Amino acid sequence: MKTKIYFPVIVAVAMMTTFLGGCRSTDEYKKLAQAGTNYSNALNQLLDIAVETRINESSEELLLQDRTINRTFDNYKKFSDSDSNLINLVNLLKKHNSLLSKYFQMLQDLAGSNAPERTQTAIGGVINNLNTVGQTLRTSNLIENKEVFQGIGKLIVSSQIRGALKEELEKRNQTIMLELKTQQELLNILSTQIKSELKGIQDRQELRLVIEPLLKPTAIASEDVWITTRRELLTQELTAAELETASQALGDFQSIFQDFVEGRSSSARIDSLLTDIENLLSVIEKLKTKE
Amino acid sequence: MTSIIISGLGDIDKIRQQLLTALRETENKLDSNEILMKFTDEFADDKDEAKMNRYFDDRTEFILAKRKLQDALIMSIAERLEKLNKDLELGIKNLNQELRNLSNTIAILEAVERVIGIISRIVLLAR
Repeated sequence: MKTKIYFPVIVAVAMMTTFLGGCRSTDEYKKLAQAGTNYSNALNQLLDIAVETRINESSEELLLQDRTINRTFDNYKKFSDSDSNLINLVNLLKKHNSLLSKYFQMLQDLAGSNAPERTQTAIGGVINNLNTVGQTLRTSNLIENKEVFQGIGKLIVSSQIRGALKEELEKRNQTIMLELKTQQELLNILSTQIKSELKGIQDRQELRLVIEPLLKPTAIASEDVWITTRRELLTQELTAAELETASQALGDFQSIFQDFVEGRSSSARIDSLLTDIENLLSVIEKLKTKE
Repeated sequence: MTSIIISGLGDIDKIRQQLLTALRETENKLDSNEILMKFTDEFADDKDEAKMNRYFDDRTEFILAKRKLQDALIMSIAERLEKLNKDLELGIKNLNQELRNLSNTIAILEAVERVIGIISRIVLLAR
């Protein structure tokens, strides 16, 4: 009989909490937050690559000029200052990016919080103790069906979390949208810059490691090394193009976020974004091993 | 792709972007190994240091001009992103508060659990 009374109550509470918390499950919020955290991590790595390619391009150019004629300190300083300027800019961007990363990390913490489970355990403890009192006083339990109360407690806390996530994203919607839109421009500029500087490095290395040894009157010392070097240098262009495509794919995050906030289903697109981020990270990894 | 980038930028940044695209197209000719080798071959013959230095100076200025445009574009974006810092910090603070509220709820339940546990032992002793 008691079960018959509790069942509609549970259904009503479940419906109410779902309504109050919005239609999104905490898992969906968790996935979006995960995408945000991975996105800012990938952006950080891209910024690192931008600095590394800039410095390497400078070094290759300085050595190229030095091989032909003795150059001045002033010439060295011009390149060095240019490198430092980008390092400072990247530091500024990384500082901002750490805030974005922290924001998504907090969203992830809230969405993945174990509070509902801990609430369930704590309510179970309260009921156990109440029942002990009841049994001592009246030799019967004060509360039957402990699990029902624990379940309701868990549902309410889950709903509280979903409500807080929904409210936070609604409040911050404009800022995050503007952030991602601006980041999209940054991704385009960075990837084009890296691609262009990688091409610059490739040209100079091709000259230093492939063309010059070939044009010397003496035969190439290790032909196998020369063949491998030439192949690696020429295929680097493909990796640079991959990097450009992969980083520009991250620009989709803006529309995925918008769809999510506006209640349109985007779970598959978040999965696809997570794959795009993975792709970018593996291209970056490939570039790092080639250096 | 360039037109998509340009549509999101301010007027000065649009000009910078267009100039940068134009420079990158020219770069493939000016900065190429063919042109460089032409000058180094000539230098090997005529030993004209002034001409060689002038070529490298121009090359340096060309590379640096391109970088300045790139960096100015990045700087402009960094400045726009920095304006969002305050709101992101507010969001972090808000989410922190929510996590603390959840911890408080659980802490209260755990306190109730302990109090009732003590009461049950008192009741048992009082019988």
